[in-house]
Amino acid sequence: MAELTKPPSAMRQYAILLRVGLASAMQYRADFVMTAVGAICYEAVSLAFVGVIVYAFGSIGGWSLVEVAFVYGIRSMGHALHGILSGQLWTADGVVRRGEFDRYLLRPVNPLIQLLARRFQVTAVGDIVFGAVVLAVTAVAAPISWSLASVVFLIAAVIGSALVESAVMLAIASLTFRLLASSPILSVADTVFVTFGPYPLSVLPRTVAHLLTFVLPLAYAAFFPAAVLLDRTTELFVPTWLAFASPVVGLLLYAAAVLFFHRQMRHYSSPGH
Amino acid sequence: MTLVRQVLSQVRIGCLTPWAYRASMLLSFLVLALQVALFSVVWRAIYAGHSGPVAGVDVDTAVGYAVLSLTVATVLNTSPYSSIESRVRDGLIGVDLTRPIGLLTQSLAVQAGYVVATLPAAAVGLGTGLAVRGLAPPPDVSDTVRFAVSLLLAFGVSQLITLLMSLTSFWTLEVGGVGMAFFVVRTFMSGAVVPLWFMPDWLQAIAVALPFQASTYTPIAVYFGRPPGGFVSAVGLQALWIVILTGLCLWLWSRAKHRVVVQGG
Repeated sequence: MAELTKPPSAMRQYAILLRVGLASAMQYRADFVMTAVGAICYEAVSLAFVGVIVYAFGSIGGWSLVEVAFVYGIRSMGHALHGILSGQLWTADGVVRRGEFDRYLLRPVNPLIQLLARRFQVTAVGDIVFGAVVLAVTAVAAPISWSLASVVFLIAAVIGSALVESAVMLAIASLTFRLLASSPILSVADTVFVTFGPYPLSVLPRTVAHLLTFVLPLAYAAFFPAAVLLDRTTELFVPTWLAFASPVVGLLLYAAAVLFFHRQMRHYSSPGH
Repeated sequence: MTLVRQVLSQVRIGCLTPWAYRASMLLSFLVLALQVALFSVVWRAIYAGHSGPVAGVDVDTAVGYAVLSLTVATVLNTSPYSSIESRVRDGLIGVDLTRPIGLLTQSLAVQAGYVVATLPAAAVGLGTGLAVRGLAPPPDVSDTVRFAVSLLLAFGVSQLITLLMSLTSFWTLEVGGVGMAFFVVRTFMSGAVVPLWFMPDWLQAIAVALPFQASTYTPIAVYFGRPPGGFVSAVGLQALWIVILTGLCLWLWSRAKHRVVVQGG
């Protein structure tokens, strides 16, 4: 009797599905490149907005152009990684309503992994190129004396930033199983992230800043790690250790969101085929 | 008279189509309301560290500009993907060409219908603006009239820009990436996100040379009593862009006629 082989690990399954998705997206090479370039342009508007503001005002709340740009750099690289991981969450509505989710339940791979790797997020490729360039340029220009520890913290912070945004979006997308619609709520959260994302949140009214820390946790996605690296922790409106723990917060939030997704999944009812 | 009826029927189609997707229409209103509220917070925070105006603009004007520009852009800058592009791709352009009114008239009528359909957004945007105390009425009646005139011209400019963009789909068939790049240039150069006042001189020079500012920035600048180069020349420039863009559309369409591909036709 043939021995049963152990199924590949969840990470490996995800990697395989991601590679398949990439191969299929690459079939339309011109479209792939155009879409990626288009995504770069899209991001460029928000950078141009911030650039013009800081140019006209000299600084925002005492933060200079390079410092604000550095906040923007962390956020835009984190957002790009978030796009690779979670871009498909925007399709959760359709997947549940059309009953595509039936298939996910039948296959021997975790349904969440199948949803996340449903298609390859082509726009994220453009975002990553854009994010990497902006982050590299601003990290060099920012008044930071880089050491091994600070570079490691920056990398952790960028991953944490992606996880924070993904956690919020995943938690919202999980509501699809009960509400059958989540993209309107995703849009609202996305608007808040895009609007406030690049600013030093210390300039906002305290209530708003606290909302963006404890309700919609945008602060961990760029402002806190940037404040730590720029040595501006005196301006924080939370204990300093919490800002240092930003990457960990990202990890914990994402773990909680994954748990929440699996809880909500039980409420799935097939539309029938 | 029949022509008017025919055109109005197209306007009606354009008006009804977006409301077939009621949820996404209502969502776009919600997002507008949220943007107005968020941007007023952001602008006030940006001004918090500065006493007095920046680039001659005080905080109330900056917030008011954001309220108006987000609202005007949502209503006027309709999606260029709505008309010709998808019809070329689906092959429906063949049907359009057999209609008794010209394609450009049809497209403009449908687009105008879209704008009419989106009009409730004006109430949402301005209502939110009032709720967050972000907008003051224009100083006097003559300013209101001037604003209305400039807004009407802006409507013409923005619709012709949309039409010009859709006409390029006869050459490209697929405007995905180009469409996104266009969206970006239009959003930024029209002054929809940030007034031209704050831009560095070289960027202002580029923006002034392009038609986009005539579709959003000009009427709002008029509203705040700062028409670029005086009211007459600001409105004159808008009118000039309408003439130029109309000419470009006609020229492009005369070229396009010879290369229409009716897919699956």
